[in-house]
Amino acid sequence: MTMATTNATAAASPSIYERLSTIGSNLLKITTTKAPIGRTPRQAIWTLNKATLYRYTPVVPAKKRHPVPLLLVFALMNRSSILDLRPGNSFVEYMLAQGYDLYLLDWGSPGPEDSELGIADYVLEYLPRAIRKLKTVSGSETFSLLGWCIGALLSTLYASLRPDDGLKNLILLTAPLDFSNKEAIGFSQMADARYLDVDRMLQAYGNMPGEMIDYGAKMLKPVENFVGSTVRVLDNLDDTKLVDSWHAMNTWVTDGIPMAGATWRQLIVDFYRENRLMRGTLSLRGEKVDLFSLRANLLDVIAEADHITPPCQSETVIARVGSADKEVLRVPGGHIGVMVGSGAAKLTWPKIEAWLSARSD
Amino acid sequence: MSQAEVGTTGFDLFKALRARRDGLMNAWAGVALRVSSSRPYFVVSSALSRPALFVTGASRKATAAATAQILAQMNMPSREDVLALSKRLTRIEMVLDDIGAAMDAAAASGKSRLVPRQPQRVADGGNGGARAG
Repeated sequence: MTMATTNATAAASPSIYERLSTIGSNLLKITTTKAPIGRTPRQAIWTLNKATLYRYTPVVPAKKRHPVPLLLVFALMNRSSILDLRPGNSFVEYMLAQGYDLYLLDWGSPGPEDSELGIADYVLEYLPRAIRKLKTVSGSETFSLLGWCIGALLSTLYASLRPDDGLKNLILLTAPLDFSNKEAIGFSQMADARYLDVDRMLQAYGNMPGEMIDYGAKMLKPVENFVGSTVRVLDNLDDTKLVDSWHAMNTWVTDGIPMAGATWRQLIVDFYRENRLMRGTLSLRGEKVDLFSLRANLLDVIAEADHITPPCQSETVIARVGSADKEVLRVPGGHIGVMVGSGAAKLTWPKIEAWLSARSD
Repeated sequence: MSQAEVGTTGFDLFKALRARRDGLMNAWAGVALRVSSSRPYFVVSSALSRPALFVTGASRKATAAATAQILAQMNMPSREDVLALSKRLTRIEMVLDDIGAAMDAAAASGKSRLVPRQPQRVADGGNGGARAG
């Protein structure tokens, strides 16, 4: 190695003082602040109780945009900001750049007065009303729907019960729909009637606290979630890029929200214990949910390493729906990682976009 | 051999310690996962949580009853009154939402009625605008 190269390397690598300063500031940042997440510009166009429908400010001229708008629906027990985590790592930002008229239904955080809010309320009141507003604002009679986790379950129920509402494309991400394989589903064991007293839990709390849901999810991989994640960031405190990424994710993870009591009860009893959707015995407000009524184009995205919604929960729906155009997309990654991070940007988002793009004009 | 090459091939104590730690953590993760997904774990955690939930539920009930009594003595609305009011407001919101949607639909149908007249205005040389509607 020549002297000149050695000098250049020395100049490029930070001094010990610079490293210590970076480590200190990063440590201070992750222990005392919350990362700014969900910052893509948007306008609230509709509200009902705690729910809000947002329209993201388009970045592509109207003439170049896809005419079919896309509605994003996330789970009930976490913030929807995961879909728009941070610039450069945001599914929302990516889809806007691809020319979609993008909407997000944020369920909000239920209060004590919402403890009787059930799945039927979300599926038959909130979702159809938000979609009605979306149609008015976008001027389109058809729309696409992307549901993730419990959002995918709600989207499936809606698509089955309201097949003539203009839903053209349905994308299900890590959808918990089939609860028959109790051994493979970690939550099924926790939800077993022998161990979990739903009534007593709701008598104590009213709504299911976000912290308890988070604890349950973390206990599916206790060491990785409680210790591993922190150790990894402490190992890399001098890497500001990695720390910022961890900080954003940690801000989202630790900001869980409660689940309305009646919804949680229904999720545990009707779905986890009795698997009513797949057995064809589920009714919402007297309307029987028949998966064969679902006729929208369907993309079923399965995360191969998902331990929260294992693939066996999402695979079987494809054979049960009435859609003529249906496809399964298997992607590497876990329940959240499948849509967040550099891997998601390279592997998941482009495939979803390619599928949707071919059906959005 | 250059200095850089010596740096990459030489013994790194921290790297070795980290590798050892990661190995131990992996083993620990495996054991913890087996424990936390076992039947005895669910039995024990359920047995421990039952009294805690019972106490939490009972204290919640007692607090609510005491608060209701105090509020009643002060001639103030109870928690139930406020919760019922909130539910009623949500129902009013739904009615307003329906009215808003009906108005949107009426406005849209008004616009669509105007659409066929546009070619005529063009045919009239643009003078038909005043008659439109």
